[in-house]
Amino acid sequence: MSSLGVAMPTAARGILSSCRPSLRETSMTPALSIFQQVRGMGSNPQKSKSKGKGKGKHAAPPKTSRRGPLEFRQKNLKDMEQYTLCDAMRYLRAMEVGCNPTVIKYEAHIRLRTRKDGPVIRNMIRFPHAVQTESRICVICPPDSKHAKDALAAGAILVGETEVFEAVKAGRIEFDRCLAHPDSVPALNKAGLGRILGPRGLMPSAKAGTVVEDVASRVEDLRGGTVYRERDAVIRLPIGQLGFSPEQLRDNLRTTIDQIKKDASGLNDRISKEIYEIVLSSSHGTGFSLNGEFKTDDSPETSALTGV
Amino acid sequence: MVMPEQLRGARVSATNFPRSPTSVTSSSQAHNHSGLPIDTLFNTRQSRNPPRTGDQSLCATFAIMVNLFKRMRKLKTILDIRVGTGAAIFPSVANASKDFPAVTRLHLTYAQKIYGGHQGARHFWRNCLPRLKYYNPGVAMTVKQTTDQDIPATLSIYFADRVGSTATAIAGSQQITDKHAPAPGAGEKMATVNVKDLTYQEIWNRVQTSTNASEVPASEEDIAEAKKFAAIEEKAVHDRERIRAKRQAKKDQERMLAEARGEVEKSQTA
Repeated sequence: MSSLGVAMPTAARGILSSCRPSLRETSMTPALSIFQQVRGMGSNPQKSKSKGKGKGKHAAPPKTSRRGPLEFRQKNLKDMEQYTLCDAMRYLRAMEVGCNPTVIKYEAHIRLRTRKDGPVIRNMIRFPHAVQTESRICVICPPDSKHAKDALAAGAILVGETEVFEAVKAGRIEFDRCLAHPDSVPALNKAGLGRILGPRGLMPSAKAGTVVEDVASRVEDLRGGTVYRERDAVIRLPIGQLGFSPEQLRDNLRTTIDQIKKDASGLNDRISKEIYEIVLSSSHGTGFSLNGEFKTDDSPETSALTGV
Repeated sequence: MVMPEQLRGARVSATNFPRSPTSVTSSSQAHNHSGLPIDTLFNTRQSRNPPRTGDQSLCATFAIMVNLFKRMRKLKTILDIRVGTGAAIFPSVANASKDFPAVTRLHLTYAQKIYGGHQGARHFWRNCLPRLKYYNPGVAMTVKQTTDQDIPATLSIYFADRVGSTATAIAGSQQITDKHAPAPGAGEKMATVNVKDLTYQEIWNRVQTSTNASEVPASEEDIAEAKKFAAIEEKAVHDRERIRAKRQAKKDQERMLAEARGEVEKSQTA
């Protein structure tokens, strides 16, 4: 019974005690009355007690305890199983078997030791071995305009208006990025493609920066490099296609790490960010913490870890 | 090979790799390899520690690191890549015999929907191909999923030089061609097997007899790991039940209180 009383919210207790006779006359009375006596002694005895204790014992300032640690918590990696690059690739390739080797990507997750506030790393990288096979870019603009010609020259694969709309409506979306010229936006809206392109994140909009005047230069930008940024002390970015050889992947990884170190050192004198763990995963695979070695004696030949 | 089947009894995850954990044996040899180390790039102190395996690391992790533990638990799925149906090594160029030449490539074609006997082929891909790929990293394996439901599900095995004699016997009953299979390269011969209406086990048996792949027995550690995780699974059933009862009791109590409160309010208004 007493436990019941303790578990009840204050409001309920008040209500219960006020009309006690109507509910349970005998059994409930002592438990409740005792409890109320205790409450009457101080406004909230438990709370004040704990407060006093905390002041006496812990020297930690109350500010940090309320807000939590200023740095992201980083666990000791001592117990984490770590793999060499080739071993991790062998497992990942087994997990991704049968998938298109140009579509499936190796991904790096670079965990940083850093504060929760302050600047974050964000930059763009060009790899020694291009990760995007062909970032297939579609440009929606009047087909015989100057922009169309420029966009094609810059490397867009699909340029036009009505023919693009037809293709999309027929379900043939053979591009990864979609840009639009402001002149074509009314036509685009009229075609009602939002329902098809929207969920895929391909619908051009000014907010996303995909409705631009200078289509050609934007195409070049998009084909250029991989954009990455730090989120919650982790930088995640694709670093290679599944078909890459371990050497290619190593080169890309090395470039990435070098650049991130450079970014970190270039941020601010007072901000220190250092790399704490590097995890390699793939589009569908699990994450393998890398131990920094390239291969072990048991690893298969690097030629075997290339291609499909 | 009793183990694989026991493992198979476990769940199949979203990516269709049955999850069960294991210790990692391969990485324990990860000592300094002089050739091309990239460890200079990492400033992790751990890079030279040989990774720990088995119980000790798991328990330690369980006590203090939730996040890492989750990741490690997920990582245990790699046991199912090493152990199970299809964990076998194809004859390579080095040890090929006259009857069983080296296997250079596999290609599987099946239709998108499972009716019409296309189920086994898909399961073969999900269950056996990762293991085959792990043990034969150099053998190219491709899968084509077609939308044409009427074509037969086929598995093409590519041999170096000549088609193995058993493979001819298995594939020879009715000659079929797979238009999606890549054309055999120079010096490659292919045998196409119709795998329609077969379970993945049957498909694997045929592959094994036609290529003479030697199965890799599960190592002691793998068996121990599998047992341990089977035990965890078993315990999880009881734990789930216990927690469910606990939550139900809490819910019941809350409901009771709410009812009492309702009664009180009723009596007050009356």
